[in-house]
Amino acid sequence: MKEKYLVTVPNNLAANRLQDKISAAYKWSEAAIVSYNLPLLSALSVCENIMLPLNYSERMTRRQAEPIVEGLLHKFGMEQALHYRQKRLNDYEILIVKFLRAIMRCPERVVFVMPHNMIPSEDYASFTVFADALTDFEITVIEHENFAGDYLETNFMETSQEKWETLVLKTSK
Amino acid sequence: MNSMYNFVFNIGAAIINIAGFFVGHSKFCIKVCVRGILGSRFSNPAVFMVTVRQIYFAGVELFYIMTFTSLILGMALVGGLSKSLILLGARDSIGTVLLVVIIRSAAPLVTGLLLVLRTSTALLMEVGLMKYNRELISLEAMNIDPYAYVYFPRVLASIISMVVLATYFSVLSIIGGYTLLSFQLDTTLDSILKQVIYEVSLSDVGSFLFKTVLIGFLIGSIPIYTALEAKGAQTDIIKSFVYGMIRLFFAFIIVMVLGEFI
Repeated sequence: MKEKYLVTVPNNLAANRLQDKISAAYKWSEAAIVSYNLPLLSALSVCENIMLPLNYSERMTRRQAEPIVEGLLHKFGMEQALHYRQKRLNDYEILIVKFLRAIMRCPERVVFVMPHNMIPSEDYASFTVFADALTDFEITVIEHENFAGDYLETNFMETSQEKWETLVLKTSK
Repeated sequence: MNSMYNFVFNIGAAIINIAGFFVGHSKFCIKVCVRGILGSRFSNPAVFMVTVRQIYFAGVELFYIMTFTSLILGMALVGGLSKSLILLGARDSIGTVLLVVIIRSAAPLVTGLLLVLRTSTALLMEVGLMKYNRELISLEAMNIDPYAYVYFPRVLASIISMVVLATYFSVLSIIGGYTLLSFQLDTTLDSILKQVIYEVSLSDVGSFLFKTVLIGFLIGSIPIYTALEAKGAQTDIIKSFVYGMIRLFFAFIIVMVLGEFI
């Protein structure tokens, strides 16, 4: 299993600064970000949003990418949402779509920035279970310090911002 | 003295604003062209899909409105002008007059106005909201260049739609005019078309292309550039909407006047 880091921050500003540092240090194909301030494109369907990085960066056609997206949505029981616009999805489903968009180019790391801003509090436990079950990527959750207690019984290792920057950001190429 | 100072101050501010817009818009256009064309992004499936969608929105969806407008305006312009010319005994000048009125002036003007009303307004709001909702930042985070993925396809689609719809307008308005004429006067479509084609010169084609391509380019680029100038507030989108339309109006007039010198 790859590493799971929990980095707690005092506010959105600190989280945004960290997000900017990740963007500057890594390409999307190396470290993809699932953030409350990186929305889906409202003019595109769920399928088009997820396949966009493949279409643009890997020059994959819609016909080639659609079965991949359909398979991934099927894993989360969301195959019916393939051609929906995001306004038909609930907050948790939007987070899943953002996550799928992030992993389309098979990054080594996935960083969730302030997940509590993306989902209602009653779904937060589902998110920690979901994030804890991810094994294919190195996962970092940058979250408000008030939510640290929700990760106590998970595989996430609470790390200070400085240590995480040394461990993860400074190892970037 | 104070009012004189304010007057000079306002003129200076207006000149600086216009110069700032001109420089900023020119830089924006260069970036769109360089990153769109030289980056060979047109073959990119994502960019191609957006371009096709935009052509459908800006061009194909206007097809029915354009057909109706062309026939009605054609009847009014071509029919009325041709009838007057024939009654005045200037039957031989029909081709020249139609060419000047329809192809050089009416086609770029009417098509441009329709595209401004439908496409430019939509583009300004769309890009303004994309900026407001941080969708453009989202694209940049995914290493997707907004110049290549968002702006270039929209500008290209405006140019293609403008040229095709203006040509369609020219042909249909002559047919519409002939329809009216055929009920009243003894003239054939063949004779009108022959006169028009006979009178077409390289200067007319150049003027038509200059106006349609440039207006198409401005219809796409000015709203996008103006929307990008908006700051973070919702009210800024509305402000930029007003500025964008005024800029487009003046740009439109300038292109129409410059086109007459060709």
